[in-house]
Amino acid sequence: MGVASKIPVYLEKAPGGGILVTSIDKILNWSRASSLWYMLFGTACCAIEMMCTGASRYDFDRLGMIFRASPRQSDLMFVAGTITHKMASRVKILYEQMAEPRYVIAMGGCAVRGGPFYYDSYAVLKGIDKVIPVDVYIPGCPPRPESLMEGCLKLREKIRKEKMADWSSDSAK
Amino acid sequence: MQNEQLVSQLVEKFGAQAEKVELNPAQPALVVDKSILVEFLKQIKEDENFKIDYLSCISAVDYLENGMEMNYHLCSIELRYKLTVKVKLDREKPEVPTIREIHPGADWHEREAWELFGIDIKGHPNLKTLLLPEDWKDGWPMRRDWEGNDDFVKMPEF
Amino acid sequence: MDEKELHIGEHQEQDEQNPVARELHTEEFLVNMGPQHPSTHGVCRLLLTMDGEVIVKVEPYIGYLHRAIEKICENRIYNQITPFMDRFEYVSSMLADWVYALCVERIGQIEVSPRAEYLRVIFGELQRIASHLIYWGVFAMDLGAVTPFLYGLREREMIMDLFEETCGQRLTYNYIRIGGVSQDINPGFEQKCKKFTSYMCQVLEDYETLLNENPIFLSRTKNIGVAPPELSVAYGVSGPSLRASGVNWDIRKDDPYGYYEKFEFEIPQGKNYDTWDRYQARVIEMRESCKIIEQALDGLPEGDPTFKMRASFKLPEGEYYARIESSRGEMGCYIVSKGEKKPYRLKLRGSSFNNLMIIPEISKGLKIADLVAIFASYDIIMPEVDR
Repeated sequence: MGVASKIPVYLEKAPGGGILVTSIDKILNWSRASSLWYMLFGTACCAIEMMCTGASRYDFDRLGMIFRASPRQSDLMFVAGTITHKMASRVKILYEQMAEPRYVIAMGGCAVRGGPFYYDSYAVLKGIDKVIPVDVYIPGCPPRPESLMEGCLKLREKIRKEKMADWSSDSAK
Repeated sequence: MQNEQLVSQLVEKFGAQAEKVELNPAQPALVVDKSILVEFLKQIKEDENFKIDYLSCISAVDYLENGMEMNYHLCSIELRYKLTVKVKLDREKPEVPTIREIHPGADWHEREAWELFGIDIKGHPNLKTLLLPEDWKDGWPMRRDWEGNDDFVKMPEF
Repeated sequence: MDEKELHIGEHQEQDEQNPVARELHTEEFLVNMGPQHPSTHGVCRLLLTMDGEVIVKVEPYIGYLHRAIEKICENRIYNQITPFMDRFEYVSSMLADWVYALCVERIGQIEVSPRAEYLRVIFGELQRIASHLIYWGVFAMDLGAVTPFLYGLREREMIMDLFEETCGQRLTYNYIRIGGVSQDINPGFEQKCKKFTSYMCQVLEDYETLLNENPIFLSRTKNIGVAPPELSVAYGVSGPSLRASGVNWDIRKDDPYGYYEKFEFEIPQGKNYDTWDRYQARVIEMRESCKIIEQALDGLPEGDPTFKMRASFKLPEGEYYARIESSRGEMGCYIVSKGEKKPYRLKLRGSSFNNLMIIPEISKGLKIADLVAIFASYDIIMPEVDR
């Protein structure tokens, strides 16, 4: 039965065969969580670690994550690196260009709270959550690829718990 | 020819207009008046004995009551000289002529000095924001007496 | 394939000879490239004025990563500044640490132990290879080949392992400190490092067979973006990009620092001054770096490479402009000290800052795809530009 036999958690066979029963929430969340395509968008140091995670040794593809160059095609945005005031409005535009449902991971100290540039800097935004909503925060300067992957697994957990009612009301706002 | 010889030759050539500064033995430096800066750089670039044709960096320094200073870090690709040319500026009205005509690579360095220190670059055709946001209105942030804007958090002393 | 066929100048000549193309009026329009664009390597924005497919004018807009590192460093004691140097140039952090340490040492007349100098050379050259590997992969990826990116980062991970076992970090090392290095290498490091360099020399041959005879790669790089020597010097271009323009200038040889005078290596120079030469200069440089590392490992002296000092110290009065040959070119650090615990002024000079300035000059009359190749070939990274 191909895919359906591998995902018993989500599908239940009805007696008599030929019919599979699941809830919309489960099947949608499963498909979303399993193919998070992320936007190729890095601003600073963390972008290099993001590249490493996507490349040979750490191999992001096995989580079903493939990079896309355009925000229109991506579900997930890693805010990888320092965001300055000059860049903040552009990040917001990029976020708005992404199709819903969309998720944001703040990667590294700078995106979380300004990082080492919190004090004495006139140019750095102190936390990306002042501009766009964030789903998962990953600390580190920069985070190792392992912690980036752990963050993505956490995001998948979060997506699996979503209810259809939640995100539809969110988009109506 | 060693660096000291280079400086003494330059001082000899330009007389009272170029004054030697004792800094670091490895780094000869001259103070030049801003009125002859362009001519000076042009001559040391074209002179066969010096050929100082490569501009590494321009750094502005704010010395508060002692005025401001522009440092031109130059070197010669062929003859391997290093030279720092200093120009003293008045802090109330800092002005310096552009050297884009001689070293086109000075373009952004000068824009940066204008933007962060408020040094007016005379004759620069494209003096607009380079590093700061387009709507920046909080003054010259790299000056020593800049007090910060709303978003600026000073690091507590430890 | 005849290379001349793809020469850009001939396209224009054909257009001028073609009566239809001459009579049709085209209106110039603006194309915004960046700040989020996969091939602007970070957050550079290029505003292109286009006439159809042909670039009329390129105007870079920078500052999207201006983090005010110079301002922050004025308010930090000397030992606190090294971590900021890692973030100033994160693709070759070791070399950024080095230029800062060098500048402070020259002002304070601090002696560095021979073992520390050798270790700096070893780690500096490993970092240069790591940086060029990213360059190699990303350059090919910008031209449409994804495989080199995976190969390049595979080899880079091996260097990351060597770094990690020595200083515990993958990207921001904080290893080269004022007066020495933070800690000695582990036993067995020499063997691992030698194994890596001999492996790297083999792999470089694979790299060359993968790309050097690929007709698409050749036609997209040869004779594209020619930067004559006079123009490059006038714009302050440095590093492999300057050497590809046929200028014999390497700070490791011409204004020596560290123990570079003791090692034998060659400096590749370009003949055609084009994108291909800039690519080739870096590939040859990786091989030369392997040579330097092997020589340094053979001559590694005994001793303590660390430097004991108080966490906060007063640097004597003075000022100095230190410069080293980073993987992209001349990286400079200018410190004005007034005899206090903190620098009075710290200015950083990133090589990409000047390298970016020449791109508008040499990309006029080319197509957007060529601009991508030129931009990638100069190895521009934005933290160095914006600081």
